[in-house]
Amino acid sequence: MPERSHDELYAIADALIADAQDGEQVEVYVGSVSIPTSTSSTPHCTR
Amino acid sequence: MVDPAVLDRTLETALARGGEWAEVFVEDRTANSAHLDDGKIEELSSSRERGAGIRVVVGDSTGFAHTSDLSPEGLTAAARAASSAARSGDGGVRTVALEPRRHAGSPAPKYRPADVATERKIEALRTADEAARATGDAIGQVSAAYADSTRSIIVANSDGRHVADDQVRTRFMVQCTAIGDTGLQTGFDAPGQTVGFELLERHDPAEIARRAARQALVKLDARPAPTGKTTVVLKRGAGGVLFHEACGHGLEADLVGRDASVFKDRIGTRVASPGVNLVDDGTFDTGWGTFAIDDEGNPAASNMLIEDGVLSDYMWDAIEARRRGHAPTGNGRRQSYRHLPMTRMTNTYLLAGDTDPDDIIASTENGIYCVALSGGSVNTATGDFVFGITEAYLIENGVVTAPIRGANLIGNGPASLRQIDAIGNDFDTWAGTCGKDGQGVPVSSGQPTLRVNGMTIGGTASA
Amino acid sequence: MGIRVINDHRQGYASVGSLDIDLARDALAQARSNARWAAPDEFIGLVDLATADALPAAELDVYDPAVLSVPTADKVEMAFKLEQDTLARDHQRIRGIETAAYGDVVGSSVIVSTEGIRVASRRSAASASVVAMAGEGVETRTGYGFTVGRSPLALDLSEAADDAAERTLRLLGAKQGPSATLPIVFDPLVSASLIGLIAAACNGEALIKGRSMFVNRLGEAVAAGGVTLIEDPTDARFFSAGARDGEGVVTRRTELISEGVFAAALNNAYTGRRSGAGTTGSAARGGYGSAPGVGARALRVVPGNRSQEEIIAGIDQGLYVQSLNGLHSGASTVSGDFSVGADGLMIRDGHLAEPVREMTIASTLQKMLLGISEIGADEIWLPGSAVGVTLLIDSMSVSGS
Repeated sequence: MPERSHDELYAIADALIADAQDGEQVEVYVGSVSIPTSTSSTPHCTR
Repeated sequence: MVDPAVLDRTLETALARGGEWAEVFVEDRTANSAHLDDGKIEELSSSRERGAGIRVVVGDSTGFAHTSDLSPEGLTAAARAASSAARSGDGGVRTVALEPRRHAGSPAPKYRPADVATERKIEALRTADEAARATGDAIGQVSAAYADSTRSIIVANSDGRHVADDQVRTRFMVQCTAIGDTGLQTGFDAPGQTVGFELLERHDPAEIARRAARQALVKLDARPAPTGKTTVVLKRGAGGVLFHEACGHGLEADLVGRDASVFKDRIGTRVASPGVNLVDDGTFDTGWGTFAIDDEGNPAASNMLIEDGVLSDYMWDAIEARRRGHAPTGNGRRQSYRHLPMTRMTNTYLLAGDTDPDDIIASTENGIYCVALSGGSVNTATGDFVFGITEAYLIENGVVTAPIRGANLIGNGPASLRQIDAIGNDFDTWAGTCGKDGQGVPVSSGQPTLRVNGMTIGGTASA
Repeated sequence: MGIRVINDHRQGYASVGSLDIDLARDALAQARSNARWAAPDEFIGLVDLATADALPAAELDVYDPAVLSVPTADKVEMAFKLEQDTLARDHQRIRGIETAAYGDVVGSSVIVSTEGIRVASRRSAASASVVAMAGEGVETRTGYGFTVGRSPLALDLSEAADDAAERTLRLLGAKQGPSATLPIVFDPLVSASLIGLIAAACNGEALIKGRSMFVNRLGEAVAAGGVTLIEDPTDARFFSAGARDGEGVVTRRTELISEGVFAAALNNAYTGRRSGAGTTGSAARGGYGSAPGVGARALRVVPGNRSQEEIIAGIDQGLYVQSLNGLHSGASTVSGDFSVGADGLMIRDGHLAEPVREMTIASTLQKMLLGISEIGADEIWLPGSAVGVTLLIDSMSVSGS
């Protein structure tokens, strides 16, 4: 996936913040994280 | 989600640079959870994941790309990326004719998560909180969570396969902390099934909470676990993860293919005591690991792995099956459209025998009775595995006596399978998340009450 | 992306794995609707700008553009080369490679809020790792080697191959050893996960909710006097370093344990307000799928001044632990119970001796902390959130045959 510039990410976040209603706090986190391809060698299970 | 004609064109693009085989996996997953902690509804959370992963195979190399853009342009771009990631070949045009397949579908929920009023989820959490706190004054903290997920998938590949499935899962979790003179102890219970809100008709939230609370309370009085070799009696359900670790992972064809399993070249040979029948069954009722088709479009199946102690087959994903000329067994799974599928377990069960569970305990002179455990892990190359016990008791002269504190049990898969000397006529299952190479998928394990000799328990009390 | 909405001190959360604005607006509406159901909590609220910027933000160089400019084919080639290099260390005895992997990640994110927060970050990391196999059937032994940097150009494949080969071969012929009570030397690769467990007990969220062995123990001696545990995301040597936390608050150095005394908890805005201690810039996001919690990301135990060899030289009989198995199922930071599978080598007369397998080591985390009698000088910077360093714990129960 191409990496997005911070400006692109800010544009989306700003658009949502502009939609906040009166008296409401809104926080938007926009991350573009490339999927790490390194692997763990040990399968494991948790509940 | 995506028009068949678009899937068709996407596969053609994926194969345009000489790929031998290509696949489009489309997923739309909605999940909701509600969390109670500290006596309060703390937070509700929702998530939506929608996208496609495209694979192109050329020889031993696989190109993979994923996108959250399901438009024809988005899919085409991902298909191009996947085709260039695979080693380039001759090129040329290949036409794919998709044949939609019908299948029975994953278990249909009685109450779809989207149709359940939020009040009912919250009421279940409050019920659990009250029930846990009413179990004993020493219960200091209760955390409860409700979670559901609805996952729609489409798989289309260059063999012409085109299938779709909807998978609905629901889980309810309670964790309790008890405070005593010796410090803090925790208890946990978390049933999960491939069902909708009816999970809570099958498992009363108050009862789940009481089990978690009782476990924490019992452990307040626990004494240190012993050290050294011991005989272990696993209560029905609790020890299924032993097989998941002791041999399940080692029977995954991708690990066998990498020469990273102690069970390589063992088909047809004795690997366990007579009477041991192990099955991986993706079709089992409404198990936590149940589905109609796997994430490579192959139907789930009931696959016998060990029959009367003899290894009968491995579990197979589509790629490894293709490589070795074996039929896929419906074990190709992935965490999401962003991940490549691997060979994975579904519901892995050791089948019941004919011994009365009470007789198994009564005939055990000294040992450990395991009622609940926290999970485990294995090094498939060596077969060495561990699993953690969270609720266990001493067995003294054939009688279950004092609770012991949490400890790990360690063993070697091939050795432990041969050390099973009693198999009960009861059965229960356990839901968990299985992690492999960083991907988590829902699985269940199950087993009757059974006894294993010669495991090593890692306690602190001198033997 | 993840969206948090707070209305009348009630919090709701929603996330969507796409940058599509329509799906994002759906998520905002969903978060708003989720907030209605939460119980009001006076301590709930987004962090304000004054708190977020209470300290100057660290200037960190944690991004190397080479991570993207190096062609994919070269990266794939590194994994193949690592595999071949490792096999070449001993063609006779190393029979195969379980995994050889190259991986990199570029984390790029922004946080914007109605309270004026507007921050961005970008970070890169690359690593290559290998697991070698030697021996046949259940006598197979495996060993791990890795290399890590900000870009593929910073990786040292040869070191990873050396480590994997050495760690595999020295375990060949391992047998289960007898049960005993012994001093334990933890290899730096192993100690990093132990250090992570200790920090989990210092987590402000766990402390508030009574789920930590350190509840009500602030100011008390919880570890041996030589132990000082620091969380410092502003230290650029950590591959997880960063100037801002998951809520946009500036990160800072925090001493969790000072010379054995439990000195501070890690807090985000909520736990900081509720405990009265204030945020330590420790809001942690496990991706965008959930609201920020609390977590450590850059942990370091102040090192001692002797090498691993010198530490081992002072031990008549003990166990050197090379790898742990089952840490996630066998260690509880609530009760402190600790029982974990271990492979390694016996220590006899100040030297590493015969290899052992299928052992467990057990104690409680509380006793282990008080029993740390030596810390090595050999810091190793790992891909994870803690620095590895040799640790000697004076006595643990070892269980075997």
